[in-house]
Formats: sequence, C-alpha cells, structure tokens
Amino acid sequence: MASFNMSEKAIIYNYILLTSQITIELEDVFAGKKLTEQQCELLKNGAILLSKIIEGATLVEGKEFKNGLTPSMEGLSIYGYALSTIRELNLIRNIKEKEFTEFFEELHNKIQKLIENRVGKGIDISLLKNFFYTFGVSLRGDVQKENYPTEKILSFNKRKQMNDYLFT
Amino acid sequence: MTIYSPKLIEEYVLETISRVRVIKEQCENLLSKDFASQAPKNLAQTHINICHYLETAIKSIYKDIDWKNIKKIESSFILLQTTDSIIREFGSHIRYIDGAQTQKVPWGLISPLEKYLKRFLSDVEILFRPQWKYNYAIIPTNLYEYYSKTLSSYETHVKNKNLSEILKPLKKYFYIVSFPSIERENILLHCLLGHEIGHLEAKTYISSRNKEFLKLIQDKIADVVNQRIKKPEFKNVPEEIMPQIKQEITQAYLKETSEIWERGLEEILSDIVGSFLFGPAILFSNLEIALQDLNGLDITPGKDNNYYPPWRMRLRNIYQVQRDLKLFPLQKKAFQSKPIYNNVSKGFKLVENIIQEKSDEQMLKSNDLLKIVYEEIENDLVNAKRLILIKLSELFLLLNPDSFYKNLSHLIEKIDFGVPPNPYENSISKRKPAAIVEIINAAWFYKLSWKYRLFDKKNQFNENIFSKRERMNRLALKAIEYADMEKDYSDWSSEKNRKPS
Repeated sequence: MASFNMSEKAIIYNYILLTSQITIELEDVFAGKKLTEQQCELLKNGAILLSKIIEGATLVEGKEFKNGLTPSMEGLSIYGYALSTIRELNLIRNIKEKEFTEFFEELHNKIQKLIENRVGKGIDISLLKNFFYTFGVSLRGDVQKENYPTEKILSFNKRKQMNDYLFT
Repeated sequence: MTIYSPKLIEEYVLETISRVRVIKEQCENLLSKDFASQAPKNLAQTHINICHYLETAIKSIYKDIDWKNIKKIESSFILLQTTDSIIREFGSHIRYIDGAQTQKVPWGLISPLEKYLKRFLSDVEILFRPQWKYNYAIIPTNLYEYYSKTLSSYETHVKNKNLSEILKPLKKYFYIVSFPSIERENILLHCLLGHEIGHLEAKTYISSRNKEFLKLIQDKIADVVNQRIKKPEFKNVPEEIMPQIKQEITQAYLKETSEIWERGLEEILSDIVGSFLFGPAILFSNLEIALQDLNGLDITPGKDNNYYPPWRMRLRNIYQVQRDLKLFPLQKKAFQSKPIYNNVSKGFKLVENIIQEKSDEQMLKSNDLLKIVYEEIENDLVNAKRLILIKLSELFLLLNPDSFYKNLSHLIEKIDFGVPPNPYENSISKRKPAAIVEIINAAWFYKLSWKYRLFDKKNQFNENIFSKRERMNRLALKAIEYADMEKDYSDWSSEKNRKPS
C-alpha cells in the first residue's frame, strides 16, 4: 500500500480503533453474551465500514451500485485493505470470480443480523471476528510503516541496484 | 513475559500519559508568545483541549481491560498503541504553531494577505508558517475535519465530553500553508501563496466530480487490466488465485488513475485561481519556480513526482488567464516609462515562446493512461474555470485591466525613488492605500524593468543589483504593512464617524 495523506490517515486511524473495539465486543458474543445497546451502536459502525468496502468492490467489479451506495475514493482505498485481508485469511477459496461484492454483502448481512438479534446464534462469529481483526492488522501496517526512519534512495539508483541484483 | 503483561502495559500507559501532558505544556507555553494572527493561538488551545480528551480516553481504555481474556487484552493494547501513535502524530503539529511566531514570519504580510484571501474564502482560517524545506505548500486536509474524524472513535470511551466543544477554538475550516524559510523576505514569490489557497477551491470542484470520474474510467481500466493479465508474466499464476490478482490490479489502477486526475487537475486549477487573484505576478513567479526544476518543463506525471502536471502546461493555463482578463498585452498608455513597458512585455513574450511549444501535450498523448486522464482534465478545466470566474465576479475580485494598470506606474516609480509603494498620492490629501496585489505586481514590474549586467566590465559580480533587489523587497514588504494599517485606520475612523455620538 502507498503512503497516505492526512485525510486518508484520519480514516485509517478511525478504522484501526473501530476494528479493535469490534474485536473486543465480538469476543463477548463469541462467549455467548448478549450485546448491549452501546455494543450494537459500535457494530453499526462496523456495518458502515463494510458498506464502504462494498462500494470499492462494486466499482472494481464494474457492477451496478445498490442500496444508496455510490462510487467513492474512500471505498476504493479501503477495498485495497479488504483484498489484503482476504489474501491473509486465505478466503479466496470461498469466493468465485466476480463475486467479491457478494462476499462482502454477506458479511454485511451477518453483522446486521447480529445487531438485530443481539446474540451470535446461527451467525459465523469466527469469520466476522477474524475479518475485523486481520483488516485492522493490514491498516496498522501502513501507519507503522511511516514510523520507520528510511533514507530515501533515489529511484534511478534503486533501479540500478535492482538491475545489478538481476544480472549477477 | 509476554508483551501483554499488566506491568508492561501499566508502564506504557504512564509513558503515554506523560507524552500527552508534555504536548499540553508546550502548547500552554506557546500561548504566551507573540503571533501575527489568531490562527496559531486557536490551534494551540485546540491541542490543549485534545490532550485533556485523549488523557481521559487512555485512562478509560486501561480501566476497561478484561485481564481474563488474552484476545481482549491484545485488542485493548492496540487501542492504547493507536492512541499513543495519534498523540505522537498530533504532537508533531506543534511545529506549525511554533513556526508561526511573529519573529519567524514576514509579519507585516500575514494580516493583509489573510484579509485579501478571506475575501475569496470567507469561512476559512489559515495558519501561515515558514518551513526549512524549500517548498510552498498547503496541507489540503481540513484540520478540523482531521481531528474530528480521528477522535470520533473515542466517544464510547469519553462519555461526558463533547467533541465539538473540544474543537471549538478551531474554525470549521482550518488549513496550514507553508513557505520556504529562506524566502521569508522575497516579495516576488509570496504571491505563490495564492496558488496554495487555490488548492481549496480545486478540492471543492474535484469532490463534486469524483464519483462521475470514477464511473467514467471504470470500463477503460477494465480493458487495460484485461490486456495486462494476458501478458506472459501472468502465465504461471495458479488459476484459483487469478480472480484475486485481477481485483488487486484493477483496484490499484483505478486508484492510480484517479490520483493522476486529481493531482493534475488540482495543480492546474490552483494555478488558475492564483492567476485570477494575483495577476501577472503569479505568471512570473511560477516561471521562476519552473526554472528550478531539474526535470525540465515536460515532466511526465508519475508516482516519483507526486503526479505533478508538466510546467509548460501549467504556465500555458496561467498565461491564458492573463489574456482572458486582458491584463496582457499591456496597455501602452498606462506606462509612461518605456523600459517598464518594453521589458515586462518581453517577459510575457518569453512565456509565450515557451508555451507555444507543445512537447508536453505530445508526451501526455504517448501514454495510454495519461491520455485518458488529461483529456478529461481538459474538459474539467473549462467547467471549473467558468465556476471560478462566476465566484470571483460575484465577490468583486476580478482584476480589471484599467484600474489594475492605472496606478501601477506610480507605485513602481516610488520603489525606484526608495519610498515604500503603499499609497497613490497626488497630494497629501488625495491619497489612497494600494492593494496587496498592486504592490506585489509593482515589485515584479519594477524588477523586470531593470537593465543590468550581472558581471561588470572587470568581470566582478554586480553587488549593486543585489542590493537593489534587497531594497525592493524591504520597501514592498513595508508598503504592504503600511497600506494595511492605513486602510484599517480609515475603515475604523469612517465607522466611528458613522456612529451617533
């Protein structure tokens, strides 16, 4: 992933905090506890995050936008992290070609159902938990990247180094 | 001992709280310093409030840790680490406040510049600060929104404090504009700050067009990706992961294409806004910055150069605005002095020669992706320019060639006599303070009118011309300050006279 501007950074920080908070709440659901009103509010933000991912997926797959969703730069950027999460969790086997949007719609339905029922019965909580946790990991990686001091190598020299490597 | 031991986490929390308190203290110290405007103080007060808010959040996150569940401890620790990261990030913003202290900025310029730009963007508060890096720049992110978005996740942890109260000292639209420290006294380049402000107008236009643009390029990018994955390097990719690869490439291409579009349009539109606001001065200052570019005038927009459009194209658009406003060709009758008329006209001609070459356009056409994007940019420029024109005309900010050139010669003459060019004055009772735009342009025209040799007959560097340049800077900067004071006084006294005694 590329480095980001301040607007993107605010979004990333916001989602890192959100995914950690959701992971904590889903632990309670996993343990069989009933969600409180406040926990439901938090999960609603999780559903909004999934909507943004669906926006990105719809755009990438060239599908028609539904349910009031529209193409957005935020959705497109966030979708990049969602794709990393799929790769990390090896979920590709569960998704057919051109059905990435549907996969995220299903995740969205799962979280909506959880908000409505307030208990995890009949819902794959493990999948939700792993998804939000791993999604947070990929976001954190990008923020942390900025904290490593790096001396910039001029791109011409970098190319030269790569060529040297390839030819020896 | 794991990283999640209560002792380690406790120590980490203590250190994080110490950091947040140091930031608060530093902001409190800065509040006692002198600033040329209110913006840095507003930012310092906001940071003090944010520090209180984040300290409460840290304590709440720590107290809520469920020490019996390792997964929950891990996630709570991530919350603490992220908060610490945000604190360190916010702490780095103190440099904006520190840099904006009166003695570090061209203080006579700040207030008049703010007033002029506020006529264009009334709701916006701008913090001007020098930076050691040689760059005129704006952080185009609204700081109010940035803080608000970042902190909104803590509302579940800090229940009795309202975020809008925390951010109250900051205006709803708050931006940081930087200029190179070493150009602090260079009057000729300060009009580039008009370009930086132009970014805000450009952003508004871009956000209104973003969705449409993404839809527009969707199919074109799909075609490019389909061609790409047919290439030999993808032959050995296992079939089951191909859909994933295709998604990743499409996402990256879409993102990069919109970035090229956004950056190209943003820079050119900012030039156009700056050009409308500052007239010919911005054309000559941009040419000077373009000369510094080691890549020349026809750089290909790419990741390495943050997708900057080629200089030749930028100069062409700035030049065109001057033609549209009829500021060029110069009005001969407005210039009694031939050297000024001739040499400034020569300056324009020089730019004309540069932009007549179309090597930049040929370069853009030779790349499929750039061709798609720049065709779109060309359409956007027509629409956006029309909207900017309407806005400026409604705000009475369009430069009129007759009034613009009417007194310029008088101001140039003043600089030449070693007097600050702050008023037009036929006599002591018939005077009017000059506008900031007129003073900056007078300085540019004055400099362009010089006839000199950089090295004299003995091949010695012409120190006189260097001193002349320095004197011009001092006089013009003083003039901006004096003119502003005079205008303030005259506004105040006419207001006072209107009030019934």
